[in-house]
Amino acid sequence: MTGLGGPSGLDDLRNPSELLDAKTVDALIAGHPVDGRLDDLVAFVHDARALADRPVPRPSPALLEVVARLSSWATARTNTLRSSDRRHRSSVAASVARLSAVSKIAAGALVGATSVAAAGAAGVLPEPVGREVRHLIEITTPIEFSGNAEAPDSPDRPRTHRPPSGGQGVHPTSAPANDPSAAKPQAEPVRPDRPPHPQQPGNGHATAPGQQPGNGHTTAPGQQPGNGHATAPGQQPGNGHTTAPGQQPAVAGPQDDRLADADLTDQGN
Amino acid sequence: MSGVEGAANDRVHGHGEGNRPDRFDGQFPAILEAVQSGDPEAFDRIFRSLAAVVAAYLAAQGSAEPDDLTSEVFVGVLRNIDRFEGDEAGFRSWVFTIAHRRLTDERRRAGRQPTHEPLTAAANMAAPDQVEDAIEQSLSSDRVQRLCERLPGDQRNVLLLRLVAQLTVSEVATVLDKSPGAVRELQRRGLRSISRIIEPEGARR
Repeated sequence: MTGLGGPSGLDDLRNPSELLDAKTVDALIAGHPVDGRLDDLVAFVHDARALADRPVPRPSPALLEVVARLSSWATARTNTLRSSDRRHRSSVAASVARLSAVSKIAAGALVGATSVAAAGAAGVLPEPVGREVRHLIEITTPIEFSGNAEAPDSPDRPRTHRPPSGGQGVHPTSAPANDPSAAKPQAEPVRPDRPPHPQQPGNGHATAPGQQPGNGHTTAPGQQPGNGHATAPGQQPGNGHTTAPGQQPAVAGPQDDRLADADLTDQGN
Repeated sequence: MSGVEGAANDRVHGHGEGNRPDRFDGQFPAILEAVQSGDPEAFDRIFRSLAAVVAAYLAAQGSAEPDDLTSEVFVGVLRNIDRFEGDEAGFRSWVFTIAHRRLTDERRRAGRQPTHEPLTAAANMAAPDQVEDAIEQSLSSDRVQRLCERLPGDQRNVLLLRLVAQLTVSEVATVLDKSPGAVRELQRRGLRSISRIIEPEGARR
C-alpha cells in the first residue's frame, strides 16, 4: 500500500499515516471499519489482538508453591478453625482450655505444613494467609504477634484511592522502576516480605506476653530474648523460624529460598 | 493447586474486537473476596482468566521467558491481593502494572533491549499436532513483535497494552502512570509509526 493506488483526488494522495486522526485511531483500535488504505494497519491490529489467543501458560514451581501454601492453609483452616470461635480469644481461660484440643489438631496441621507456619510468621505468605497462620499460632501457643503485622510496603501493592474521574477502582502504586520508557523515576522498591529493621519497635514481629516489643523478635514467656526468632515455650531459640510446642523447628525449604530470591530480584536487588 | 497446574492446557478464547469480554462472568467481586480469604480455587479462576493475556503481553514485549515471568506476576498478585480494592477493570490494570514492572526488571537484569524469540523456537515448543497452528500464529506474532521493536518504548507500551492486553485508555494511563491524553497521543503516534514502517514493506512485496 503506497497511498497512491486509490481513486484520484487530493485526499487519495495523502500518506495513510496521515489519515490517523483521533476518530480513526479509535475506530481502528476498536476494530471498526476504517478507510481501505489502512488495511495494513487493520491487519496489524488484528494480529496484535490475536496474540492473546494463546494457551494459558504453565505455572512455575514458585507459583505452585505459593498456591500450595494457600491450599494447605485453606485445608488446615477448615480442619481447625471452622469450628472455633474467635471470640474465645478474649478469654484467657477459654484459650487455655482449648489449647490442648486445638493444639492436637494444629500440631497435625503444622506437621504437614511446618513451612506454612514459619512462612506465615515470617510474612512470606500472602497477608490474609499469614494473618490466619499467626492467629493459629496465637491460639495454640502463648506467642502473641504484636504491632502492625502487615508486611512492609511493596511496589506491587495497589493503591486504594479512587481517581476523581471515576471508572478506575485502583491505582497502582507507581510507575515501573527504571523503565527506559517511563516518564517518571521511581524510588528503589522495597522487598515486600523483608522484615522491617529489627531496631524499630512495633514492627510486626511476634512478642510474647510480658515482653517489651523492642527488638522485633519473638520470644515466648520465660525465654531469654535470643537471636530474633520466634520460639515457643520450652524451645531453645532456634534457626529463625516459628516453632510450635513440641515441634521441630520449621525449616524453609529450597522453594522458600527460591521465592525469596525471586522476590529480591523483583525488587531490583 | 491442580487447577492452576491444569490451566496450562486451556486456551483463552472469545475476545471480541473492541469489546473486552467479562472474563469473570460478573462474579469478580465474589472471586476477589474468595481469593483474599485464601481460597486457591478462586485464585485458579483468576489465573486461568488472565494468565494467557499477561503472557501474550510479555511475549509481545520481547520477554525472554514470558511464561515464567507471568508466574512471577501472579506470585506478586497473590502476595498483595489482600490490599486490593476495586472492580475487575481496576484489578486488570493492577495486574498489568505488575506485569510491566516485572518486564522492566527482567530487561534491567538482562541489560538488553527487547528481543523476540525466533520463529523456530515457537515451533519447537508446540506439540507435533499443533505445529502448523503454532507456525501460522508465530508468523503473525513474529511480525507484530518485529514491528513493535522498531517503535519508541512509550509507543510500544501503549499499543501493546491497548491491543494485546485490551486495556482502555484510562487503564493504560494507570499502568504507565501517564495522563489519558498522553496515552491517546502515544497510541496515535504509535500507529502512525507502524503505518510508516509497513508502507515500504508493502511496496517491496
